[in-house]
Amino acid sequence: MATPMQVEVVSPEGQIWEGQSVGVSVRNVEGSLGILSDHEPLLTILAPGAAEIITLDGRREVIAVSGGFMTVNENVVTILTDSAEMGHEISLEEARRELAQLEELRGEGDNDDEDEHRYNQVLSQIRAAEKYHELHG
Amino acid sequence: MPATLRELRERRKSVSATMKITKAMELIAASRVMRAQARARQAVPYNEQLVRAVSDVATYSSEDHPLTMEPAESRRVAMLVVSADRGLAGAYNANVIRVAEGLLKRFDEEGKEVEVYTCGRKVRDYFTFRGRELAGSWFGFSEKPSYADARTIGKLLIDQFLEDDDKGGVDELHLVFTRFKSMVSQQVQIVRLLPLEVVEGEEELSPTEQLIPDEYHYEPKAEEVLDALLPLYIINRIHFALMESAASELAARQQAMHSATDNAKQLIDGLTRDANQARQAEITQEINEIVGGAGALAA
Repeated sequence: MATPMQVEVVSPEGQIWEGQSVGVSVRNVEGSLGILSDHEPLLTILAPGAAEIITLDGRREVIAVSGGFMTVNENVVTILTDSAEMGHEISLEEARRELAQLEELRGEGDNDDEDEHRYNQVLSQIRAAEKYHELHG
Repeated sequence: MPATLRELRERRKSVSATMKITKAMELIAASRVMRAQARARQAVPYNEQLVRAVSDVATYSSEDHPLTMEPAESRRVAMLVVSADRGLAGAYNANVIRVAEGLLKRFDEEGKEVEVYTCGRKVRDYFTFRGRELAGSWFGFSEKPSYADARTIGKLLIDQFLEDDDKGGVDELHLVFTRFKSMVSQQVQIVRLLPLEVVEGEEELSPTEQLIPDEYHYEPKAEEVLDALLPLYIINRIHFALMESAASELAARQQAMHSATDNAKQLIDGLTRDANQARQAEITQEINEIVGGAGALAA
């Protein structure tokens, strides 16, 4: 078996998740990106979306990541983001409602930086929640 | 005429009421300072990783980034001053203002135009009262700054820095904040935030961790990665300064309230003694009158 990777998800509010993993899947600016053991050193900018981490015992952790970046180096994967939530803590309905409101603002063109950021955050929550429900029913 | 017994007792009552308030404020500040420190500690891993990544990319990317480029000549500078929203924190606000005024004077002597940004009500009031126009001010979160607050401030200041001089942009950004050294010692510091010098990371990396930077694969290109990372880095520095200032404010308030409580205790002791003396004098006088009266009757 390949060497497990040490994965860490951190935000300014503290560490969100840490553990060993056999595979990580994130969404970066160019599309979906999968990381397996012994990946080459990589530094990439992330897009708002779900990070999926497959733990050693085969569990699939889903974490909403609002942006930020990821470094991969010698089987250590670090995801840095402004804000992150665990997939099972997200309410899909609430997030969808908020997204609709923010999209309305966006359409009218009177959204500020903070709204834009919140939009990314909610978008990542929805993507993560959808993935979570897909995996865990 | 010495104060009457009733006056002394009333004064003592009022001082002990004040003492209750200062005591409560001391305890509140003490518990909040712990929480502020805990929040600052939580941000440490994020800070470390970010500094490492930025210094890795910065060494790899040979091109000068707009945010790191020294301007040929700096005419306009911006200054962000971080103070508290409320007073009753000893010399905390006064110290920040003193250092800020010193910096303003220095810029004046160098013939630079200064744009002042403030964080916290106290310093905003100070400058507006003296008729200085503020380029921007934020308040309402001095005790508990969030990352979102830092992001709002950081984005605006970065935009100002990238803007041309003629359009109101600035060539430098200085930050005045209070570093939390310990519960009893806080120090006001001036940091030049922009143009950026990435130095911190280099010492922190141990030899084993120090990758040869061009082994990294960047997605998208290194320059674009740097574009995205540097603003994060600056926002993080501002977040850090806000958190340090918050902890300093609370520690200063705790200290101030502690000495206020001590002073009140001393006052109460003194007043109690005076009151007892006055009571004693009253009794003595009464006895004298009775004895004097009895003597007069017997005579």
